[in-house]
Amino acid sequence: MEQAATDKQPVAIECVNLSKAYGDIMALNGVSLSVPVGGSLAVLGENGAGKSSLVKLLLGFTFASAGQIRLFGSDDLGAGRLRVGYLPEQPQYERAFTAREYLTYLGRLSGIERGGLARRVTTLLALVSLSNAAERRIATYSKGMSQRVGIAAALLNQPAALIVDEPTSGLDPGGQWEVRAILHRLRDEGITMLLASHQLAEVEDLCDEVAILRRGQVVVSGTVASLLDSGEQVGITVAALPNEVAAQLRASFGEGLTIMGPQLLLPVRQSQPALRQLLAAGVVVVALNPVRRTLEELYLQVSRGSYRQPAAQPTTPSNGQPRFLEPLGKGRSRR
Amino acid sequence: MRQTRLIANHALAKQLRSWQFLLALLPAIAVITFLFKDRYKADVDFYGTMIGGYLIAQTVLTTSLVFRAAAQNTAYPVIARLRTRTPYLLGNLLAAMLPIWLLWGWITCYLLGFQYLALVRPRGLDLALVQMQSALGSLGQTLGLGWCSVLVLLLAGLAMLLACAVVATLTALVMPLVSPRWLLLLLVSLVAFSLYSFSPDMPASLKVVGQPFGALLFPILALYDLCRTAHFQPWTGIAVAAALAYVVGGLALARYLFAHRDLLLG
Repeated sequence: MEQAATDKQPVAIECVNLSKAYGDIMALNGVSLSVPVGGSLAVLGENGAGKSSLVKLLLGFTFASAGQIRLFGSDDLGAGRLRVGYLPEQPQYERAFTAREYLTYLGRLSGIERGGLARRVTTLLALVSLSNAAERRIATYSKGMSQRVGIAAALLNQPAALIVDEPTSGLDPGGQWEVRAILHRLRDEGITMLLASHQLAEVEDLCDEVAILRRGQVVVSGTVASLLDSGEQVGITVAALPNEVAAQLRASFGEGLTIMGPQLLLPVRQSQPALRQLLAAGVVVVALNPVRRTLEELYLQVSRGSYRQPAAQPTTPSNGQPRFLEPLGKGRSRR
Repeated sequence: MRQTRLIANHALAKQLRSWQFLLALLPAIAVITFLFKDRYKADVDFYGTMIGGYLIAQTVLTTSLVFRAAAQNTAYPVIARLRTRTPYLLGNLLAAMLPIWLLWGWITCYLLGFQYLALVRPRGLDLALVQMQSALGSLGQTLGLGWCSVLVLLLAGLAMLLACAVVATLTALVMPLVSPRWLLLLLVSLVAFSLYSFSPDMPASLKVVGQPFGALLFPILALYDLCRTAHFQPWTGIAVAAALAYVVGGLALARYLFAHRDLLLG
């Protein structure tokens, strides 16, 4: 990917023009993404947008129709995947086994020696707060506890990267908080993370970057901060706004102006004349801020197809600004 | 190999901890109870026909159950830990075969035990195994008799195990985890057509096409014959080699298909 080449930053997970077709249904269509080592990327999208298809491709459960995947800069995906931990969506773990038995089995599969494995399993069970339930069968666990078993399993082989598919799906608020807290801690420890989700709160909380999928295509991607900054509107906060000045402004700027108490919202291009007018009228300007939209607003714009790339913003993937990789396609898609 | 063994152990433990284990155990108890009711009638023909048939059916059942369990989404965290998918395939196949081998060993030992009792206290025997007494008395005399009957029974048993291996491999090959549905349909059609080719009702025009397909069943039928009669003929070796080729070829095909298959597990 061009981004990797220009950044010179080591990339943990990278896919270039990745496509996946199931029969004549395009689940993914030319997706290009990358997650730098130690970074965290959230893949957002509605059900059927292609999030799980992307995860399955990255983990080798399915095979790409076109495009390329690289893990830790290598095309040897078999070796690369051994350095990746995976937390599946709503996993059905081996219910007949205890958490300790199950983790021991997976650890031995990963080639961890018995002595070290026993210690590692005990440590991980403590990390996910399951020490007291370690000898109970997984069948007796709540959904949240099962998901924590999954996190422990994903961390067994001390992965350099984690691929997490809908980690809080189906959990109650308490369970969601617990899982997020663990993922937060792991991210802070520097584990690379790719999170497929449609839980906007957890994305905003956990990830540095976001890519929004729609109909198998990346519609918009970039850092969370840059995407939330719409770049389209400016908020002017004043000490007090006399009615006659408000009337003059309405006459000058028409529907582009929104007045909410002491705050005025304007398109960027109209902010300079508005400021001049306010200062000329002797109004005290307290603050001038770019208007930030919420991730929810952005997501809704994208998922409803009403999102438009701001003309003023460049397509510069390497400087933290938003990357607008693909336009909305007209090809056949899942939805 | 280590991963294959671990996966096989785990799949077996999973079976033992679930009700599915009863599906293997209950028929085995039924066979022991009913088929060996008249224990002194248990000769090689009975062994080959009844036990062979039972074990083949049990192989299909056990392999189907193991591979059905292996196709759940619990497999994702396991396969994600493997460099290739081969250990997962072989581990589950091994887990399907091990209970069959155990059942075979159990039934065969049970049978031999009663054969021994029959030798100690003969009671109107029609047993070929009566010659075992000679084997115990004099090795030279036993060798002079040709195949020692115990050896015959064991060799028939080995043929039975090979037949089970062929069936397990072919069953695994057509399971949804491994191959697309069209392969199952193709294989079933092929077997049906091959069996039909033995029918005298088959039209002459089809016989030309059908007979080569009939040859596909030769190793299976030869093994069955071997199990039933324990009569070794010159072509028996060819049948055994062909059956082994079925196992190896079936495994290679299953491995290829499984390695290149999209895993969308439920």
